[in-house]
Amino acid sequence: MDYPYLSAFRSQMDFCGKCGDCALAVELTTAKKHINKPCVIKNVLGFEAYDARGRILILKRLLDGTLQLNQEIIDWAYTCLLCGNCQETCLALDNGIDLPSMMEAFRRDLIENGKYSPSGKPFEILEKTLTHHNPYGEPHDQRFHFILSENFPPHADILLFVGCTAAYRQQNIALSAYKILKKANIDFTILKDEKCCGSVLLRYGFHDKVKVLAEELMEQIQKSGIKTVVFPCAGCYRTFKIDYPKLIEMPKDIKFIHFSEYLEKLVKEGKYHFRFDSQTRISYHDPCHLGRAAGVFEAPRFLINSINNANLIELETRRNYSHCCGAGGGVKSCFPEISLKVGQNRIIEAAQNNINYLVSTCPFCKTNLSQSLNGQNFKVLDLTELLSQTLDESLTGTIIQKESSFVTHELTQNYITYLSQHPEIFSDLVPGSVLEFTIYDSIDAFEDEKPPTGAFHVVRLENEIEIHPGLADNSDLQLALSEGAVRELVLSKTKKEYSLKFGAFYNDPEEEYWIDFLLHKRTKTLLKMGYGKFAEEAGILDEDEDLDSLDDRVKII
Amino acid sequence: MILESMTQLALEKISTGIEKIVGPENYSKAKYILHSYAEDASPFPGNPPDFVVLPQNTNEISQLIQFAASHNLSIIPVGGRSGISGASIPRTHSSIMLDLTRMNKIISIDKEIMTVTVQAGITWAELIHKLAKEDLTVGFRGPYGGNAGTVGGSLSSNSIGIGASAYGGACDNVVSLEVVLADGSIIETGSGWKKELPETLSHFTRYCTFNDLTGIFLGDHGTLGVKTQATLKIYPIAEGTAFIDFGFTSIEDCSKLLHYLQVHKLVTEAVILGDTNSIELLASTYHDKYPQLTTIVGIIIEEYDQDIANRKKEICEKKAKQFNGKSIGTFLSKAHWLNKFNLVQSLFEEGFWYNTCHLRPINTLPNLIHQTHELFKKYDMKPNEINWIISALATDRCYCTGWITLFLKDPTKRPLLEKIWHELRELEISNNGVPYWTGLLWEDYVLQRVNPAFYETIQKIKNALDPYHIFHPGVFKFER
Ligand SMILES: Cc1cc2nc3c(=O)[nH]c(=O)nc-3n(C[C@H](O)[C@H](O)[C@H](O)COP(=O)(O)OP(=O)(O)OC[C@H]3O[C@@H](n4cnc5c(N)ncnc54)[C@H](O)[C@@H]3O)c2cc1C
Ligand code: SF4
Ligand code: SF4
Repeated sequence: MDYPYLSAFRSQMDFCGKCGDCALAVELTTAKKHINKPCVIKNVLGFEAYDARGRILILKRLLDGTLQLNQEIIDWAYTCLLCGNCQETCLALDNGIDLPSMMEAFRRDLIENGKYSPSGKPFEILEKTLTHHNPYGEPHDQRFHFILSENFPPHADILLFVGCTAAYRQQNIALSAYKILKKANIDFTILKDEKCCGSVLLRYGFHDKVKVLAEELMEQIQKSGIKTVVFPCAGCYRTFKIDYPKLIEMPKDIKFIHFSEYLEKLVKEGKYHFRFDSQTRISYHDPCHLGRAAGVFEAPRFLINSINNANLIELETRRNYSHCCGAGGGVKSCFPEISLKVGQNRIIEAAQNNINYLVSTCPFCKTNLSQSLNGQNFKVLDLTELLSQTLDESLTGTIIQKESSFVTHELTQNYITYLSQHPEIFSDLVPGSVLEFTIYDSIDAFEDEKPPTGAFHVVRLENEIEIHPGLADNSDLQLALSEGAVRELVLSKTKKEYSLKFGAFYNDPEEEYWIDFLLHKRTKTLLKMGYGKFAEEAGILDEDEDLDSLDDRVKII
Repeated sequence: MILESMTQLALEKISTGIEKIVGPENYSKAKYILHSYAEDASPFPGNPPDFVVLPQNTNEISQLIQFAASHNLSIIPVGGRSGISGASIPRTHSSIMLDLTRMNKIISIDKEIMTVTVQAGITWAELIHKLAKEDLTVGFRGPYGGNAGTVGGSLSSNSIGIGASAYGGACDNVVSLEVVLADGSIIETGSGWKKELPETLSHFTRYCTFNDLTGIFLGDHGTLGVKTQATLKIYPIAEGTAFIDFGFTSIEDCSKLLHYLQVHKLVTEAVILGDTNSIELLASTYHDKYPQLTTIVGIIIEEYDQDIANRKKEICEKKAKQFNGKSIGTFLSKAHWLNKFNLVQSLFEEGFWYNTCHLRPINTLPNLIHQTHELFKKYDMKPNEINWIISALATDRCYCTGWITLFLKDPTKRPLLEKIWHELRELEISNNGVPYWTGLLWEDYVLQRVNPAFYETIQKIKNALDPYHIFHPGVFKFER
């Protein structure tokens, strides 16, 4: 059998140095990367064949004929969650070795050659999706029976794209989203004839079929005069935002955003107030589709933090390195028992936090995690459900956000003002770079990963920089500064003085005056993005002077 | 895989036997699984084992060894298979590969004696991370591949890496081992020799009472037994750290500084980037700013107290100046130390890697680098899309690693690269170099040069401890 789609990745496979990080890497205290054995399938099944290094070896050997395709291998193709944690961990290339795309390409080759997995699941789900417009095979005309009592307008600015799982299996999520939007009198509608976006089919390798679905859906959406499509489902969101543009031409005038991003905006406008009556401990599970794939990390955290009496306790693996819940990549339908074992491991991770709620932003995660609860005494909820439960009906108007201290912190404001007057500091960074500044009242706070006292991030655009308050979703690098260092830096009269101080604080840190970095990308990638030059300009390389002058420089402090 | 020619019945019998010991989920003979174990991180063509087993404890391993012996099967113990010498690739047929990565627990931390006892399959990254929670650390922190490299793998292959300038290599940090031998019996080395001993006292020293049995198993490449536990020395996490990078225009000057630092035990780590090309590859910021530099040394000092670290740094600065070194910043040393096991991987984008890692006295480094450059000139490396990195790490006293690695971008140039690779190894081993791990990478080069009396001695040890050559047959070309 030929593998045209997989063969396209053959040369990328040679960049895999077989280091094994994608399976075995563990958090490095110094690098503060919250990794812990990234491949959750390998963690459950144990053998090398299930992690990226082993998968690449198997795929290579299939391509060069050392290994022959058999039924076991066809099954194996559907044991990958396509969660991307291996790729995120991999430092071989700027964006890591793209194992998920290799597995998808391999599945595509299998599908197009009529190679069935024995459970026949992929084809069964294709059949259901094409016939009933949802992968569950439920009647299409019942999609919104639980919500249709409401007369949705034919046209509105906002479209709530509910998705099949929220419509048929997790209706409370759809109802919660509906209730929240209604509460703020948002002008929104739904597509009465909403059909499956094809997320599951894509993951199985039915790319051509999904192209047709995408075209149909986009035509429908465009006809309704929608300006923004809002998704409570991370899977649908990723499909529209990341996969569709690879398949069809997308309209430029329609925005696609996740429900949490939309709500973040409304909360900041003071449209809602959420509260628990007593202190409540919550951990947030980053869905792979929303976090790693689409880069949305902050909005859900912002929303949880905005609930009065809520305490967000981060999970051991989180953000980019979050363990998958176990439901993705078609594994849940092909090998439900494996999905449950993965889910149970995630639940055990969450249980360490002694929480009341484990919250996610994807109906699929919610389904698998709640089925994996195994008697733990916390609840699994979707964020929409949590927010709708905590919606404080009695209060409206402007509210004070816990996180808003980032914005009002005076020193932070001074630093923002200083940097905005010196945009040339960022001139060496390539457009698209995101540099996060965090200010701490002590080195211990930084090292123990306590929240900073101030935070903002600088986005380098083509001809300008933008400074945004708060933490970034996905920065290239986090700069951590002591309050003392910032106080000194903003007093600098010239750029030279700024650089000298910056360099001294970084190279010769003292208790009150220090600067540190956390790299969120590989060093090599950062250098390519201009951070090397930035560092040089910022003064962290010693000047071309003799050693004695270093001592003078330290005295500036 | 000779088992293919076995009758289905015989194969089933073996499967059932293994299954009885480890349970159905912890072994496999599925072809695709075996193929995923065929290679390590080296470029050598692989060879799948016939079974893969995930043992959970020493007892299972003991039973598996006895089972293998009675069925004429061989045992290949492996850790993270992150080795880059081909050492974990099966050489013969009918093998059971023991993937030890599930034996990854910390058995005990002894704060009285300052040791940690671990299962052999724990990775260095996991060990360091867990010890850090107790404000403790190991001296040798692991090879640069310590995300996947296990303690057992490193001790079996003499790994050198992070922390080696002050603490020596992996094997220098061992107090005791638990090893399962070819007849399935289990021994503990060092002060663990007593039949019965209070738990707390069993592993406090390596050298006592008899000769050093621990050393026989260190660096054995899995040929003498399966290491199931190791006791390592531990230290409190340093309160004070200092970083500094020095640039040089001559490797001779840089080596003199390195030698001085090691003689006087001034640093925890001193790592060199040994030519302009390497500086450009790993520290382009420095290259852009100081294109004239041919060598950079990154220095890390960890001390109990910050003042001591600062003082040591001052001494380093003074000395560097005497040897014409220039303080250029802290970028390399910080990136090196803070990125720990995440540094080498970013070089993979240069193409697949062909290493020639070995050890040599510091004073022989300049000559090696000059000769290497001669070799590279002869073969027009860059036009042939072959890149390289030259680096070195001061080790223990006054020797260092020679880390010269080639990168193949264009697969059609493999024959040329292999020629250069071969000549480089010849050059290194003929000029004062000795490999630390051997494997397929070095075996032929080593066996040509080994003193017959030395080889005979280790061969006798092999035959005495493993008379039927159950463990990793073919390695070191031992003959029964
Ligand atoms: C990115 C990267 C960087 C690296 N940097 C370094 C470096 O700086 N220094 C260095 O030394 N190496 C380095 N290596 C190579 C490798 O990481 C180390 O040699 C490591 O010690 C190997 O450990 P492992 O568990 O992967 O061993 P494996 O590769 O699994 O095995 C190595 C040998 O040990 C034997 N073995 C393994 N476990 C046992 C056991 N429990 N009992 C008996 N025998 C056993 C095997 O049979 C084999 O012969 C690097 C590798 C990578 C991928
Ligand atoms: S995919 Fe990346 S992380 Fe995994 S073994 Fe290959 S190079 Fe290493
Ligand atoms: S995509 Fe996820 S499940 Fe698949 S190999 Fe990578 S980490 Fe494992």
